[in-house]
Amino acid sequence: MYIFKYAYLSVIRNKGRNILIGLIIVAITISACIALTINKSGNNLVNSYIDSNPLEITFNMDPSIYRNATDEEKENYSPITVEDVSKYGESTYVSDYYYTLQASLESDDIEKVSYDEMFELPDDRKTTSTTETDSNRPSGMGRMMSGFTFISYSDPSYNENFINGTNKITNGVMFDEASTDNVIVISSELALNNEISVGDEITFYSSTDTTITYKFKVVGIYEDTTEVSATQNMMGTNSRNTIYTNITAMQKVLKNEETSTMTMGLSAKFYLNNNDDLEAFTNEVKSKGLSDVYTVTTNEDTITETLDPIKNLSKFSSSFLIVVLVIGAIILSVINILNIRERKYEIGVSRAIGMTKLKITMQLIAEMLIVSFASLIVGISVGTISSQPITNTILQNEISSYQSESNQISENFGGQNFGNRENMMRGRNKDISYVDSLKVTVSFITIIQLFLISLLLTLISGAIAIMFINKYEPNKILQNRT
Amino acid sequence: MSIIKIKDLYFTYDNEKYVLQDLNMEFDKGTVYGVFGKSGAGKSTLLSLIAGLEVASKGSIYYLDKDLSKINRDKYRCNEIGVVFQSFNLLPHLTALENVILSMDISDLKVKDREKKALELLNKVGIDKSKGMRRVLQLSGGEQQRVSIARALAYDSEVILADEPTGNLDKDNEEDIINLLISLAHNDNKCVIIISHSTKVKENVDKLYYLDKGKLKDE
Repeated sequence: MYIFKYAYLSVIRNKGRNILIGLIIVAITISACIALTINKSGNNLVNSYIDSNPLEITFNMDPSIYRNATDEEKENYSPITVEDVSKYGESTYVSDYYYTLQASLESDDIEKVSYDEMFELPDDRKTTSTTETDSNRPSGMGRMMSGFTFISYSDPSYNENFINGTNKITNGVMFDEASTDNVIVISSELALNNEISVGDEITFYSSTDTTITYKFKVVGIYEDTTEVSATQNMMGTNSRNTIYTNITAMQKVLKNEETSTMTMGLSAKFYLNNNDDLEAFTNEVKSKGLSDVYTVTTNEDTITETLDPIKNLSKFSSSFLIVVLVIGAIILSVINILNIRERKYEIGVSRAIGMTKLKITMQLIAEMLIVSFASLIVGISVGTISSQPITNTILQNEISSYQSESNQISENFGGQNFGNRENMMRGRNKDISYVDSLKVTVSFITIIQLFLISLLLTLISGAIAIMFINKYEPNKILQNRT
Repeated sequence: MSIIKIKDLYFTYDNEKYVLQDLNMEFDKGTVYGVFGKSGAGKSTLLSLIAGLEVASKGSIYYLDKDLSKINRDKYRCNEIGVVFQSFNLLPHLTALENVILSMDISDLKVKDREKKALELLNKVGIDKSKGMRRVLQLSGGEQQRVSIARALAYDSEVILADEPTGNLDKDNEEDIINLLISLAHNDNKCVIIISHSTKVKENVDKLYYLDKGKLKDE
């Protein structure tokens, strides 16, 4: 069609005017490309992150409910047992679950690792100084809390310390999941302090009945890279004293311990096929006998918080896109109106020699589309190249702002040792590792969207310009000229 | 049968004062007509009405017995009538050749080799190929007016309207353009209507109309 021929001629022979329009469209396209890419990649990341991090559901006893209950109700409350966990785990809503059993055993064969031994603090700062009145206790505040912590996982693949690498077997092996022998894995510090090596046997005894003893064979030694604070040591929670054993051995131990110990040592986590089924699953476990004293807790906040910078980035990019499009549409409309005014004479001549308004309109739109698409190609190319570094910069700024806010609060509490209290106060995990990278790619759908945006902007600005064309009568234009 | 017939024509821009009143005129093929009159007499308005750029307020203009107010005037302008303006009114971003081809493209003319025909037309009005390939602003006033005439001939229109075609030209060019328009009527059997002040035009046209305050008058 001849219209496109003359549109093309008009574009290439009025370079100055079209380059100006083109530059504006390039700027709009780059901005829209980056905003759309960030938005799409951010949303994809959030969705895939949520999909790959299903909700972790735990049932925790709510002390306030228990306190307010009548004596009769208290008698009816039953603690969760391993059998209950298995029953809940059979639910069709559950994709996977595991539980850990925990117990505390004493030993005369070995001594616990204390904070002082790890860091060799001067005598006046030793944590034992406050407890020296008890001559039977070995040095170190770790001894304040009795016993060694034994932990077993129903499914060892959920042992996070080994998954995230803070614990690593350096000698021997981790016991087999199906193992039923009394075997344990201990920390390298515990092994070193007590001169224990793989293959040695250690005798432990019950904290409630010293006559009940258990012999465990050391099959592996792990290195624990977590930092231990003085507070943790004082609380007797030095992770170096944690001993891992298999679930069968643990159940043997717990059979002989008091019921309260057994129930306190059980912790179960459930993962759902679909996070939306949380309420249905809760109802199901309640119907299966879960006491009202238990409340459902999930790690949704942690997951959400991890994604906060990405979500903010996506939200910002959406708002930015809207602003760019509105401003872009206004600028383009103004330029097109000025453009049409400038070309009044040309329109008058074309009308005088018989060109219809429709064809003139089509030619003008064709010109705009040629400029738009050429600018779009440039804009998408530049946008594709620059979207990753721009995303990285914005994301880093976002994370820095979160971290500085978190650090500021920590300082307000007097330093990093107040981490736990700070978490309690704010409900925010200070050590949360934010998702700090967002791989952005300009997808085919993004390119289609940009084409549609460009088409829309062209049509909006073109429509406004066309309204002006229709106001022009060729005779008047030509008479004014002469 | 007259190719253009004006019957009881009245025209007003503002519904108050008639610019043209009670006009009755006839134009035939093979004849050069001159419409003269002082400034403001309504000459250019008459041309706009014949060109289909305006519509009569009262009365009618017929092209081959078809009332212009009842036909598609865009089609009429691009197929039946060629207009030559005082200020040429060529599209400045196109070459002389492209201006002529544009007229062919807009019309319903069925010509296979438009470029060849356009070059022939430009040759006929005295523009060679090298000048035809130039943008119109690179041509002189006389040359631009020739291109404008070639454009008016592009779709074999039977009527050529010329509004002060020599108004912006020097004497030599004025004579050339007048001769060209006369030859179109006498040699190519076109109906040529020239609106002008020029004495030279007055001396060369076949029939004269004199307008005074929108009315036809004997000279």
